Amino acid sequence: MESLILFNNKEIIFLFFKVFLLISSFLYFLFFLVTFQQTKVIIKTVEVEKSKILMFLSLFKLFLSIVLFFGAFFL
Amino acid sequence: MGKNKSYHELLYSFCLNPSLTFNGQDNDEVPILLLRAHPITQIPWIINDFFLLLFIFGLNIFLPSYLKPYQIIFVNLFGLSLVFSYFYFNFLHWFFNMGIVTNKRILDIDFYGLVYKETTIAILDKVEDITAKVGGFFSSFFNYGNLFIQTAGTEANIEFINIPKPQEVVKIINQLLKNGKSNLI
Repeated sequence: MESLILFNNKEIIFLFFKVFLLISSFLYFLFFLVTFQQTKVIIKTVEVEKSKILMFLSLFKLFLSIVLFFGAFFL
Repeated sequence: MGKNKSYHELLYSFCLNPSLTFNGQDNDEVPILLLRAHPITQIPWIINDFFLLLFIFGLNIFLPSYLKPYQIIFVNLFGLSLVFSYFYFNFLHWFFNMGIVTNKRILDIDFYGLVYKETTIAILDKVEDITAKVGGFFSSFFNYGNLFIQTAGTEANIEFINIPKPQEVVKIINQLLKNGKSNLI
């Protein structure tokens, strides 16, 4: 019977932790994909002096969300 | 308030002669006034952000007993990224919810949660009544309030919420209405 138990307590906690991070980082990526697209739409609607900085920040966040997703995957 | 001179105060929440272009702008249309919510009204989410940041740093006291160093780095990066996202999202919301007064019309651009956009336009000729409301301790102290612009006929009314110096905005719009809408340019 004991041989059927594949994980110990610590491993199960880590597995849950990893799944949680994977799902969160994926949702986070989706969120920033939408934010990036919307920032583009907003800047098309109203173009102000600092628009390019905001576009850069949105792009940076999108990139960071991809890094986090892959980071969670290989954790 | 010099002619053609760009002037701004209160972290770009009150800009005279701003350099901006917007969708549907006519060739001879000149933005005269750009309004955003007074920065003091943004304090609650800045405080939230600060406490979230404290929470992330506080978490580091307990994490070393449960996680490996590279996992702690990842959790910190993820947490800080979430805190920054919250800040950035709220900042975008403040930055792009604006009111624009041009020499031809008044525009109220609202973005709700960044996925829903609402633009209300009133032609200056159709403006019938302008009401500025300042109420409460903070509003009186920091001089911000709401501005209601009523238009003739079926055109939508415009509301600028928590804008700085509402009385001065009323004065500028009135001046535009009186002086053939181009005296301030």
